[in-house]
Amino acid sequence: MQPENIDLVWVWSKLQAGIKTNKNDYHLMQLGYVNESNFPKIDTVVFRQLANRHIYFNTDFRSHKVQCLQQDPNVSLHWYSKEEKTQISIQAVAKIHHLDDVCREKWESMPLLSQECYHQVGNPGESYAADLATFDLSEKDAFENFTMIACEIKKMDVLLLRLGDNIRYIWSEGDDALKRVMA
Amino acid sequence: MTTKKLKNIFPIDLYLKVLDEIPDTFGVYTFYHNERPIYIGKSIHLRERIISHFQQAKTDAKERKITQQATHLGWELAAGEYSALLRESTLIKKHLPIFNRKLRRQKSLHFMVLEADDMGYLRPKIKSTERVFDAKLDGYGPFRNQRHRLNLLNQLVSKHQLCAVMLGVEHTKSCFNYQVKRCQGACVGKESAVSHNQRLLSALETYMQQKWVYQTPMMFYEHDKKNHLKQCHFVDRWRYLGVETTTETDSTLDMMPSTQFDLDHYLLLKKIFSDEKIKKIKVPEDIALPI
Repeated sequence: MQPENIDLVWVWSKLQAGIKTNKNDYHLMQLGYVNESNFPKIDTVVFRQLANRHIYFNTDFRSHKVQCLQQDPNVSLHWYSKEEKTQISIQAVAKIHHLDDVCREKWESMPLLSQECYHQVGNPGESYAADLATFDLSEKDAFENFTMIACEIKKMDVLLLRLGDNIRYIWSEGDDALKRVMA
Repeated sequence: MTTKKLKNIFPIDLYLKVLDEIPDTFGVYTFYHNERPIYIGKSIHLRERIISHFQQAKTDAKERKITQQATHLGWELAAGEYSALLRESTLIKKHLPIFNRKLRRQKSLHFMVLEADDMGYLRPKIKSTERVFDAKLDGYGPFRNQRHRLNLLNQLVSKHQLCAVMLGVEHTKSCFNYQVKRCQGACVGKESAVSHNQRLLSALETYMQQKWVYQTPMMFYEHDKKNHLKQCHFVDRWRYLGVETTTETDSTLDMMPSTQFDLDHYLLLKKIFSDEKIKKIKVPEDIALPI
């Protein structure tokens, strides 16, 4: 059931719920960025953490998206909950954490199963070869592949879909609260 | 330092022969490519550790590169773990081997102090970016770089629900965390200065810079009775000055070429000086130190 009026606390609680369980609609987010040919590219990533106006996800330092984000850190993040008929869209600037305290702390608290993909010998996107598809990299090398992307929120757009009566709110950096606008 | 040539070392018999000569005790070792050190390490089991480099080369890309590129191996014994750690750090800074990422020389240092604003809220300020350490400074750090310092402040904001605006990580009127009820509102005057200051001081307690409480330079020693090796280290205001090594037949004094403050030495010395098993002694006046 959608409320009449929403605030940032409401949006935050929805996003928080997405981190806690993979059954939640907000668990996966669409990440939009610009690739090296200036084409928009969209990936689905797992939404991992929410802290201090930053949205975090993890990725492999060897991946194509890290190379693109190094060139252009502007990103769009998008969630849609079918159950709640709610769309949350965020514009943010990505910061790459690699081999720093933030990564170290996260890596050490990660289950081994989640660390597994960073042990892959072949780079993501590299031509397939059976010997590259093994997970033989040492713990040290795997940690060097582990990267956290912190996306600092600059703008937010929340749309509650209702038959004939959609509700839309926006927020920009420096605003004190969500502002209702025409849908 | 004892050195042995490792021609086509990996994985042939010669390396095993060389390793047979290395004692399994405290020490520092260096892999050389021709005359150039490419990796420096330390261990409390020198022989075992060097063997592990070759074993790990099968699965670890970095170890493979080190062992493949090495043409010589050198090692020197240390009187204890701390002596090995200090020697390793000193040698890495001197030679800057390509495979040692950590313990590299610091170009600048960042300290943080708290200063009250007009409303009485304590706000972090950068104190210095020089490689000079004020041992009496009432501050926090040192930090390796600005990013390291900002990461810490960000962590404090989320762990302790401190105000991002007050800590200088957000530059808005009211912080975003206040809007999502993750901040108690110091930025909008909802939380008093006294309360926020108290929480900030408590959160920062473990990051407080260690003060040099001694009036004079100090020394400490380690003694490996089995190998008849004694090493006496000299320290002043957290600066590592050098070491005197005494064997059964010889005594050498090896002083640091520079007595500038070094972050890695500081972190090590802080640990050593808080170890109750290590006896700290005032340096006798007849020993001339480069202070």
